[in-house]
Amino acid sequence: MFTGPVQDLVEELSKLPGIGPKTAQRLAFHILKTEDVDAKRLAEAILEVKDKMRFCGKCFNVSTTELCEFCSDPRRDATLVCVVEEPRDIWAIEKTAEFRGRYHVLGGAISPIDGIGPDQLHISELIERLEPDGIKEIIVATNPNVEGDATAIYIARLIGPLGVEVSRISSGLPVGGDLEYADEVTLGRALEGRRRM
Amino acid sequence: MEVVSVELTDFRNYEQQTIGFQPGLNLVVGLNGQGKTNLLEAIHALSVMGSHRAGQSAALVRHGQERALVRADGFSRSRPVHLDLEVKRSGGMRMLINKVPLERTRDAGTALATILFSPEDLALTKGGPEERRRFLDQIAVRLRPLAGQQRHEFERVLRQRNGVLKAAHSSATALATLDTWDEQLVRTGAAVVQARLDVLARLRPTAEKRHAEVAGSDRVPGFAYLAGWAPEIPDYESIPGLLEAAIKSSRSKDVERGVTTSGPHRDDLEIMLAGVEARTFASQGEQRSLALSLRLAERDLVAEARGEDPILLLDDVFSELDDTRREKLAELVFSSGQTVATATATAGIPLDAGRVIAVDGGRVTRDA
Repeated sequence: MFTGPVQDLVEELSKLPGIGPKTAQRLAFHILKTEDVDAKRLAEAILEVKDKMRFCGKCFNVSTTELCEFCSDPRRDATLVCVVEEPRDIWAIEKTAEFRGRYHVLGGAISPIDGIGPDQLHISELIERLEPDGIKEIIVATNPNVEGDATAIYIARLIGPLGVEVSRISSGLPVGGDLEYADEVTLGRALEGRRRM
Repeated sequence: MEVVSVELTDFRNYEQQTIGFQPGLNLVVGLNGQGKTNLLEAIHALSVMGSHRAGQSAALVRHGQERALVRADGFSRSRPVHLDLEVKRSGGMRMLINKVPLERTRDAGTALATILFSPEDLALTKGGPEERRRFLDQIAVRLRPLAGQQRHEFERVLRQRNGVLKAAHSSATALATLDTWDEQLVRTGAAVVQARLDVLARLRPTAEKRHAEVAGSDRVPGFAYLAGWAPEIPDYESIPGLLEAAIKSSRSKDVERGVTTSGPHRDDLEIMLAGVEARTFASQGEQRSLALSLRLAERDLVAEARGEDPILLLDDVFSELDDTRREKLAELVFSSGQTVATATATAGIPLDAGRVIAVDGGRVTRDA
């Protein structure tokens, strides 16, 4: 255990996701050794991101403006919306360059044991968007686990009866790889979710 | 498959010891508390990366030491295989197969598969339903890796649904997602039940045959899957419908108690002997024979699935059997690959062509 500012820094760093006490110590001592100007830049970047960044008023993506770059882009199809758990999932889908619709960030997935229900997520805001935006189709791209599936089912049950098409992204094999390198669980899932040709 | 030699370093009461094994029967003899079971535990750990009797891996490390090592040379599908297992006192195990680190624990059995029968297995007949559910589920995973993932998902859905039911007492809107979890519970639960029924259908004929051999009696065993949510399951297709109806009808009770009261997590494998429930009415000896025939049937299924006999580990089985049953078991052991068995004495055990390993205080004193 250290005392004073070093310990304060270690404790703050270890609150970050994926950072254990040992990594927090290493980071703290690294910061201690760096040039003043670099440390200041880091501190300012943290302050600035909290100060300048906010969440898009429509889709809850991170943004510097009232509407994010996707919601304010007229070239993107407003009738097609991809629903994701976190803003970082948008970047994963954007990298594919295959999706030309808009997004909606839920801010997580339904997980009762963590106290997260529909009210803690931006689901009612999604419902409110349906009519004014003329949304015709929703693609639920939550994570392929128990909580992500539950969230997808919940949204489908809620929105399906309103005449909006709801689909779920499929899970299966990585493309371009060899079948023999796929793990049994993923390969088993892919067999389950096979499609007719 | 077989193990040719095992080297133990700081494992339980073994400081440093190399033990050789031969194909067929290997009998480990010694007084109580000398390390017979520890030796079986070490071989079993190479197959499951865990212990059948210690909850924490720290118990496997010799007193005052930081890590235990189990090294083994053997053959799997006639190819030589070398295994290194490291057990840390601080928790966790690491295994290398032919010097390549194993990435996932569930792949541990790919090199060496063992079937262990220990005195604790009496719980299969005598213990609660969870012992028998685990027995079916573990075999399902050995036969089909996806079954492990399906069971894991079912347990997670069950925890989440119970979370909803608990929250319902303090929040009026908590029940909004209950339909969602019901749907998932039906989907994942049906997969778990189907896997168990599948295992049972394959297990039943061979367990009956093994029981006739081991018990040497004409009292016929019976094995039935008992689901509280369905008096009868006519076929696999009917499982989701039956489960859905049961979960719906017990909903108000579930909300009231804050827990899922009906489903595959409450099922049982009923074991009968001559038409009556073995758990209550069979003698201790009969219960042991039933448990042993279930493990031997598991051995047969694993042998069939892998195309080679797994290593049979029998902890203190011979001493509990009468002469005729002992001979029956010995016959069976000689006809089925490699076996490592423990006993306090060689007396009464047919040992033609068997190797005897005598242990005393964590040392092999005789090896012939």
